[in-house]
Amino acid sequence: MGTAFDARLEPLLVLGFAATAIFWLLLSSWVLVDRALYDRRKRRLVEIGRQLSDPRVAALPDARRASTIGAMLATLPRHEVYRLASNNEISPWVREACAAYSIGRIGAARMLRDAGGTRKWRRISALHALAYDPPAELHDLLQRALADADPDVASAAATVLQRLGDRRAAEILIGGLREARLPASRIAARLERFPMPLDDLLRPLLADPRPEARYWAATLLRHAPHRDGLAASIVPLADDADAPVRKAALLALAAMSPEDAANIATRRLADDAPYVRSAAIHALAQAGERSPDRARRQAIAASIAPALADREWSVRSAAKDGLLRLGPSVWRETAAQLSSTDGFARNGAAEVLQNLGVLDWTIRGLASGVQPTPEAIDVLRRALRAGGVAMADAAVLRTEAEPIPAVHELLRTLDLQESAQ
Amino acid sequence: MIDPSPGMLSFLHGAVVVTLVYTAILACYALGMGILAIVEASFRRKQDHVEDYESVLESPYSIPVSIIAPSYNEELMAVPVVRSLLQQAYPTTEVIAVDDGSTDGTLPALIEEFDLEPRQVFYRSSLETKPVKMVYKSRTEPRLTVVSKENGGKADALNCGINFAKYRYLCCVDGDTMFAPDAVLKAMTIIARDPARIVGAASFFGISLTPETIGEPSYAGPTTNDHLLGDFQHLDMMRAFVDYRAAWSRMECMMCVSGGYGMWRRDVVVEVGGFSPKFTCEDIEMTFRVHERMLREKRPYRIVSLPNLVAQTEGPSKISRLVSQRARWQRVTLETIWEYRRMFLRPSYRKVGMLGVPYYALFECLAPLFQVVSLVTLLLAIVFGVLGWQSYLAFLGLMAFGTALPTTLAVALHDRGYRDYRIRDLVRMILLGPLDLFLYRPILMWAGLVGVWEWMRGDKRWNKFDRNHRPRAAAVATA
Repeated sequence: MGTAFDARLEPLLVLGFAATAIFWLLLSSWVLVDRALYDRRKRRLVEIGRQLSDPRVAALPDARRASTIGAMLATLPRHEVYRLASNNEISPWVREACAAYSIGRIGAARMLRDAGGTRKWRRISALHALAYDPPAELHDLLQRALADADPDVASAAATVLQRLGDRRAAEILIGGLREARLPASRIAARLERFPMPLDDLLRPLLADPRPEARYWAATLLRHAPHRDGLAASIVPLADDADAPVRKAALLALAAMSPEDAANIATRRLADDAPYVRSAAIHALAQAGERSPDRARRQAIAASIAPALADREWSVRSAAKDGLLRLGPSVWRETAAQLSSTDGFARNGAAEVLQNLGVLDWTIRGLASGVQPTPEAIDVLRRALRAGGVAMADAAVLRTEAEPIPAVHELLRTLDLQESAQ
Repeated sequence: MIDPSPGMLSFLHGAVVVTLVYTAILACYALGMGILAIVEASFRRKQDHVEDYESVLESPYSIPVSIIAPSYNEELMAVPVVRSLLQQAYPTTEVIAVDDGSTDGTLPALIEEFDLEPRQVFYRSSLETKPVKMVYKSRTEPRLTVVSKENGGKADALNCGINFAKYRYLCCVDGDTMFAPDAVLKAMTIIARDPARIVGAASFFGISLTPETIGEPSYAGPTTNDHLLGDFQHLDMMRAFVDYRAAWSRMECMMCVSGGYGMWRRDVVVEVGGFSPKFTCEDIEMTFRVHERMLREKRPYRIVSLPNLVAQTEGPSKISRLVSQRARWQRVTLETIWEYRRMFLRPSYRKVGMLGVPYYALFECLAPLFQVVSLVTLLLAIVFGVLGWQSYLAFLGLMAFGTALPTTLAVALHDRGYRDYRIRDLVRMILLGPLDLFLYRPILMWAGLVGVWEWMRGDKRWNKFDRNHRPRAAAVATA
């Protein structure tokens, strides 16, 4: 019985064993051969690179140089050269040489067909390669590619458009901000690095009916060189119906004209959207940071400090950052929040005072026997009470104060509690 | 040869057939996964080659990332790991190193290396954690925050880090894992294509006995360990990420964002309640929980696995430590599958319920038990003459090369994509493939059984293994 069962099974198992062993052997050999061929191609490319950078090749007349480069690249498989033209991991000059070679070898007509075709990776390669010697149809092809549902195709189109760097390319990219399915931030990143100024193209978008267009126009214009009336044309957007647009406008104004931004930002501190309130704080801090006028900084701090009690964590955090940016001269305005009825405001103010160095300064004074002013001691007392045991421990450790009686006496009288987060 | 009773004979026939059918199903699974992995690897390779990383690097609109690195008694690794995280080539990151109540010199090492000073920081208490003892900020590196807290386990430490995190995406890592400079960049470039849907991402990280070498100036790409156990573990990870997880990712039911390197969207992690300290490990359970929540609420989402090697983590160099580590992995798989058994074959959970969970239940949870039953069955079949030695040897050969095929495929796909190993390393990895069944699988099988036993006993220990011996570290200590 067992033998019959075994007799039926054995040939199957032996066959299975032989098949898997042979398949493994073939796969393993392929891995090694493929790698060896790759290494050989890589060495060849390095060699080509070395020859291409040879001044003697560069000095050749155009036709001779092209044929010399062509002869070098002809030693590589055609499809490899085509793919290399779009490979961002290799040097730009090798890509350029590969693109020129591919256009010559494959023909611009066929590459244009590929660039408008449905075979994704071939389409991407063709778009990249054609950009080195752009035919008239390329912009239309790139416009279609940018609107493609496939993010790889759209992303490649954005890259190539940036590389083209002409006005028509910029128009397509800006159009893509409104219509492409690719995240607009990816297109905006290309526009940020665009090789020509774009303010005249972006400016009309400030009045576009679509909020996304207004948002990106305001955002991208913040780095525009100062042009007459540009900031003035952004100002109305700070009161836009769309919250992200208000935020973008505040940040743009903060970068372009901090003083104008500060005036508008003050009224936006009460905005419904938390990220607009945060942007307003940022704009105010930016204006204060740049102002040499201490009184101005203190006035700005006085308007930011109440935001330490905001119901949103992100706004409270922005307020802390904002006060820190204004520097130690705003300690009084910050310390005023230690008397707030809101716990967040009290511990936020304590944290800002700690990070401004106000607490360390007073503790060092106590430790060294120099009696700080009663006001400074009072601020320290109230800050440590708001900040709790951890803040006191951190302060003592930070200032490396030995058990100085004055410091200990102060801490003892505080009756510190664990502070709630 | 012993004459079996007819009943025994029928049983053995049945058992041998079941063993072969189970093996055949596994082979079909491996084949299907292999095909999907080839498609996915080819896609990612081409995508990687045409991706304009430079524009992501220079873009002010790149999504910022909070990197959270919990550590417990990582005196040796904490500093190089944090340094490798601070060296990430990405526009905006912050690093939150959470010292989970270490009893060794982890915290002092960090304080000294990064010139830390204590500060009180009021953070968002989005998730419950053990109390924070002290927060440190670096005087030299403003992006670094070190949090010292009471010991509560890795999940608790991660949750604590999440409370401090400022940004929308979290990169949760292990405190003993060293990262390549483009680890965050590669994953975030993919995420940035569809940030509304991609809520989690994993990437391949290898096993090394001395992972800190990745951060050294002399580092010239990954190599094998020249240590059998280390290399088998590395191949195991390569197979898991380059073959299987890539294939699962292609099918949109990737079931494990590993703890060694996992990207998560903060809002999603907070919404599901953070990492759970109730489980032995936190990673697979979080992935299951996110799938469960998203599918139950019919929300669009994706969890992806990327094939590029982003990091090296330390693997045990001794069998006993490996058994302990893998038993823990087996235990957490069982805990998770048991917890989410309601998803099993439920069409409302789509591919996750119909493919992912059943796969884990049948081939990951039951694998050790089935392997032992198969082994015993085949031995009994030989003893009772049901199966001849030739058949048995042919079966073993079939299994050896069958196991080697996915390994070799993983090596092939990785090499096609990245070309970073030397040829001699490729040869070594390929040759180790057929030996896996004889030298490595038995260890995993034993670890699996230990894990099942521990799970039945309700064991939840982490079983952290002692760090491997480093000649250089020893030399420094002696000096």
